[in-house]
Amino acid sequence: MSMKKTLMISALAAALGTSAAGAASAAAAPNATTVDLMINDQAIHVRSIQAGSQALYSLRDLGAAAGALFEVNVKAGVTAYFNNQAIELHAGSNAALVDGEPLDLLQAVQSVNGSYYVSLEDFVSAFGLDAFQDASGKISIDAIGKVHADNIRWLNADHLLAAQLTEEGRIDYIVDARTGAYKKLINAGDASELTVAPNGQAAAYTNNDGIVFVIDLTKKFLTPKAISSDNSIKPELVWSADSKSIFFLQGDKGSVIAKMNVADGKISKVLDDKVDYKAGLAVSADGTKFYYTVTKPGAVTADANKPVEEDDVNIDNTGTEPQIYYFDASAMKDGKAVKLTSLTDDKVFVGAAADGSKAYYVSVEENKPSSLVAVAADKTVTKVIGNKDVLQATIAGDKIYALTDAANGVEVVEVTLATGAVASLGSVEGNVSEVVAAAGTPTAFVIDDAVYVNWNGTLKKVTI
Amino acid sequence: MKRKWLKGMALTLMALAVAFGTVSSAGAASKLSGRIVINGSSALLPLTLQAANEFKKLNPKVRISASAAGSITGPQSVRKGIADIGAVDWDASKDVPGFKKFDGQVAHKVAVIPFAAVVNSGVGVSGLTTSQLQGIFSGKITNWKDVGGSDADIIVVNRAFGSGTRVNFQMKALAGKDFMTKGSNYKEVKSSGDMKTAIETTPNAIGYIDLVYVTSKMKAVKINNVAPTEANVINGSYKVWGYGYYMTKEQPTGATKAFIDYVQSKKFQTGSLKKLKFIPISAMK
Repeated sequence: MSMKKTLMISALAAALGTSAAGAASAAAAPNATTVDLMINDQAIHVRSIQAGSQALYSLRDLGAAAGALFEVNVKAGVTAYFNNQAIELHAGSNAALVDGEPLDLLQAVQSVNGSYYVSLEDFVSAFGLDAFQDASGKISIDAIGKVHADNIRWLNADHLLAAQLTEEGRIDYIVDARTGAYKKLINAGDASELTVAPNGQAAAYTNNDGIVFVIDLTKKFLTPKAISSDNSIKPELVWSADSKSIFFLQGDKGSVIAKMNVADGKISKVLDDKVDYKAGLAVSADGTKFYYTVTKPGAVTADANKPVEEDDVNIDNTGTEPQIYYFDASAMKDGKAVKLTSLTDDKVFVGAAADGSKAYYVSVEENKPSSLVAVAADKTVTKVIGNKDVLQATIAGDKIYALTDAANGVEVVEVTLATGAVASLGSVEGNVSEVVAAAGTPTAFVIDDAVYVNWNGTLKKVTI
Repeated sequence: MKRKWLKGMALTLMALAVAFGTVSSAGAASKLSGRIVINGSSALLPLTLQAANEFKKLNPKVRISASAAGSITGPQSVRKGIADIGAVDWDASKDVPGFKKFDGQVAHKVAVIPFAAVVNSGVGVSGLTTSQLQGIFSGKITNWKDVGGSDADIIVVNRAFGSGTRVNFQMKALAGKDFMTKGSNYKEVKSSGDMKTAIETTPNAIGYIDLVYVTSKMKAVKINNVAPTEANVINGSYKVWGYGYYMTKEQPTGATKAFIDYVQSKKFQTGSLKKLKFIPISAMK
């Protein structure tokens, strides 16, 4: 602890007439009782007083448990330093300052025997924390600093990879899925989205030049390594199940499916059928079966010899809906992919079963509820979820997790691929935009841009 | 300041999970719906289709159709009412060489597109001045020896009228000077792909192309001694670049606005747009 910080705590202790010892050992002030709270999953004892019908709590006890440092100024009251913010409070006043910005407290701060007492809601608001109350009324405060994530993916069963986008590029963090604690992984201005290997030990990205870099996440010092000098455009990277290769779509039109060995950077073409605008590449675990969509641009007729003002241009968008294609690299020696679908529904969130037997997608038709559909390599189409409006779906190992429309939010549905069994996991209120899952991980949800991890039915907020 | 006082949030079969404060009950994943038709620049089509794929994951109820037949057909389609968005390599709400402005249309910047003067790999010239480019593309300079190369006739490859790449190259590389339009050493091509093929396979050819389409089988030459690189575009030393635009009939609303917002978002600009080797619009501040 720095000398300055020690002085701050000592000054507060002197001003409040108590020691700087931990909250659990704090002696109750006269007229104060001691209540139990949870802060950062640790049980603490907090002094509390009653101000009318409102319970107020010791600022020092709460702040110390949260990790705040305090400075006392006779004129300026108490300033708490927490998560790079200065929170200024005054006895007898409900006007607080957070980094100089005014904040109206619900209750005026009370000073009893030199100790400041605040309402729990004011403490949470002023310090920028989250507080939760379970069904039994037990209060938990989460004071662990969290990062904002613009994009989130599972790294392994205990950690998430959170990407924060900036004007210059991106910063990636590893986030503890149980606490939200985070550490910076890489700050790369020219890195595309990181794609995590299935074994969680490596991540790949392309830079502005199209070069593929791999980061060994098992190393203490992370150094991105260019694994090939190939600078072709690579719109999508997909790791092989054994984490030894990266499949990718190649070219600005995503015309080619190619494979790059991570060990030596050697590139081989899987499919080069001159069919443009492939997307949503999904690969079977054995690396031989490929599902993807192909989008055909509309057909335009325009006579360049006519005056521009005549607008002699026509567009025919017939047949421009994406279709699912299948390619079996082990069986099709003639190199031809098979078009599995032909209907005019939109096909979103394409994924494939690990054994390559089926592709799954959300089928969207105008003015109708969307459904989760499976299409087999033999073109057999099955509705997996046909009685709900499916908003999003993601494959995680042998399961599919889908968000479906519900009255006040979304219902979370789990599909077991082996049996086709569909089960409701529950509902989440709020603006739920995404379910994030991977093989062997819990589910996580993006709710109002924050990420919540589902630990046995309780959602733990891990990013802000 | 937003208060952060939440009740316990749980996943519950009874849909009883409640939250207030930062978590609103404003609804679920996006139910925005609608159909968007986009037409115009072939250079911007890969970007548009990539963005459409990503946008539909955020807004699965929105359907998007995209096509390309050259920049000029973008604002024409919007004016005719057969497209919601016209993709074009220049600001079509203003006059440019060869094209009058499209009155009332609103231009939305979506990408920065560098353009390069390119020559067949056998051409022994690595740099040209604006004056030399004007001479070559107007047909006044016809032999490579006149600009420091070997004694060989120059083959000029031009994009057809209506190309956004052509408009930008004329404005930025030729300072507005006119192209030659005919001759035994002159040819016109209809697309970036055709230009690429022509330059790669035609000895002594010169043309121009989006920087992203420059291949190892051709040579991008310096202009006024500045190499056509992303870094030189961003630092302001390389002048031959332009913005890619989405044109709309008026200020967009609904799904069209949401799509344009997505293409202009940090997520797309610093993500897939860079993967496709375009330069984010924010880089040019």
